[in-house]
Amino acid sequence: MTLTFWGVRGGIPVPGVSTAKTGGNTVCIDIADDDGTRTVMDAGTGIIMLGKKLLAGPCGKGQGEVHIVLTHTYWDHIQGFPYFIPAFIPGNKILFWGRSVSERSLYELLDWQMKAEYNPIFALKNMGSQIAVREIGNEAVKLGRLTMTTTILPHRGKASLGYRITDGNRTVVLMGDVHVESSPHAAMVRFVEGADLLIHDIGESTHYAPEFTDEDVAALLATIREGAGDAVAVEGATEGLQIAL
Amino acid sequence: MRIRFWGVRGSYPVAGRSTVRYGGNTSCIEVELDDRTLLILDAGSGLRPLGDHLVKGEFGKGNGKATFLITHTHWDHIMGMPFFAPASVAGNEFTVYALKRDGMPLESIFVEQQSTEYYDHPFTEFPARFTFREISAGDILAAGSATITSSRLNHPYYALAYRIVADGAVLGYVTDTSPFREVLIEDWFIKNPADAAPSPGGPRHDALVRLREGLVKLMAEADLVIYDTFFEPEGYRSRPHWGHSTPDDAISDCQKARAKRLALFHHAPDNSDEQMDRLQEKYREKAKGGGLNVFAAYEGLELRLP
Repeated sequence: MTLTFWGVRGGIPVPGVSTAKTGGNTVCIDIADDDGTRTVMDAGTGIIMLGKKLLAGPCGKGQGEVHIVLTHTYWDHIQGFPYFIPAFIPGNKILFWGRSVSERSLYELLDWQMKAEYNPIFALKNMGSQIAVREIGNEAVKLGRLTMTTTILPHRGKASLGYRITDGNRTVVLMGDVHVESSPHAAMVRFVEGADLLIHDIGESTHYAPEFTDEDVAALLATIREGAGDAVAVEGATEGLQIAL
Repeated sequence: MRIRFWGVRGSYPVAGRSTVRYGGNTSCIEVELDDRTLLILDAGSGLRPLGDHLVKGEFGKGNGKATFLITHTHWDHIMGMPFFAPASVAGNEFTVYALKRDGMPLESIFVEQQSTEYYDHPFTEFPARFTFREISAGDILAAGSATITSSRLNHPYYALAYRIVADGAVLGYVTDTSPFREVLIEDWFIKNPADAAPSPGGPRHDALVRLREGLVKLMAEADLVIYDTFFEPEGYRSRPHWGHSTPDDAISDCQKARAKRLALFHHAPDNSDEQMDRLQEKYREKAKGGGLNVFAAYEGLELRLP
């Protein structure tokens, strides 16, 4: 499994020099399995660059299949999708996974982003590729060779999802936007247990907040590393970071 | 009249080193009149740094007033509003103008952007006071000493260009628009440009001609026109239905209107700083003969009119 971070910013994309090192694109992490399955976690503006890269492969020929796993539907997790080029190429299959926590279905929430007032595409169905949306319950889901289970995280009155993805050998857990209490729930600890890599929101801010400069991020990382000691290797995610498990 | 560009990019904000000189934030322009009236043209992601700047002054104390002129409500023109710091300070007052359309009311377009499925803080909880006014193209508005009017543009689900007259100067803000030739763009999704091509001499062709005449009139004798020049000619050819123009069209319209200066604007996300330098050079040369001064807008550019 190889993970690539295409966007690590929360809130809104932040262009400019002061965020160039950490990155200004909103949340998107891509997991490439050795058999070619593409699983993308969240669709912030980081997915736009990923989309261009994917054109070199089956996605460029209308033979692509991309799974997009959503932690929740805040803008910084879905705002890149209207510009995801593989979604415009007929023949490609895009499958969203997630769970709506409102009266509106996940499909409706994604379709709303394309509405005439907001977007020149008018509706998801106009994009050209085959787009489907699956709402996940507690069951394990197969994405190619990967197996994925979900958990619900506390997040400002609405829920956000955590995902545990394994290929049998290695396991990565993504805990997206989450309100961390002083001592974690037993269920959360179990969900994370044994993971080779845990991707975790840094606290009460959503990922790196828009106003966090590269200097702010470095200072924060130093603090967290001090607290973690030798038990856990801590890395600050930056745009372009690639981790092979 | 003082003008400062806070966002000049089209479609979506572009982070990364290759666009740091011209800037990656989407459309947002600050216009301050000599009588201190503040106009804000569009509310793209550039509105966030503008707001952070404004709260250092009167807007931080709740004594701020500003008028938003929104060309249209596509994401890149409204996405900065949830992050606009002055909205969180009680006492500040904002009037927001945009085109009246049949769909969602203007206020609900902003409210829904911050509904709880999508964002932390509801728009309705902003302490500042917002007044939304939906206008028709051609309505005459006043803001402080400025007289403002508008005309309709050729863009999916419509857009308005604005003419702002104040301080002995005329400013034209023209975005987003396709040229007024190949297709007439209205309120339905155009899959193939041919579907929206007007037949020569037909009523839709006449409509296009009238739209262009209205725009040229809007820009008449302007000291500065800021124009959507997203495409180069080759890029435009297969995409006339996207709703964006080329510098060639902007120059042609500005010369017909006898405008003095043209700012290339709404730059394509993929345009690197080097490409923008090249475009500026190319079109500055091209327009010279006709007496039009052309430059490419960039984040942080500040200038005064007349």
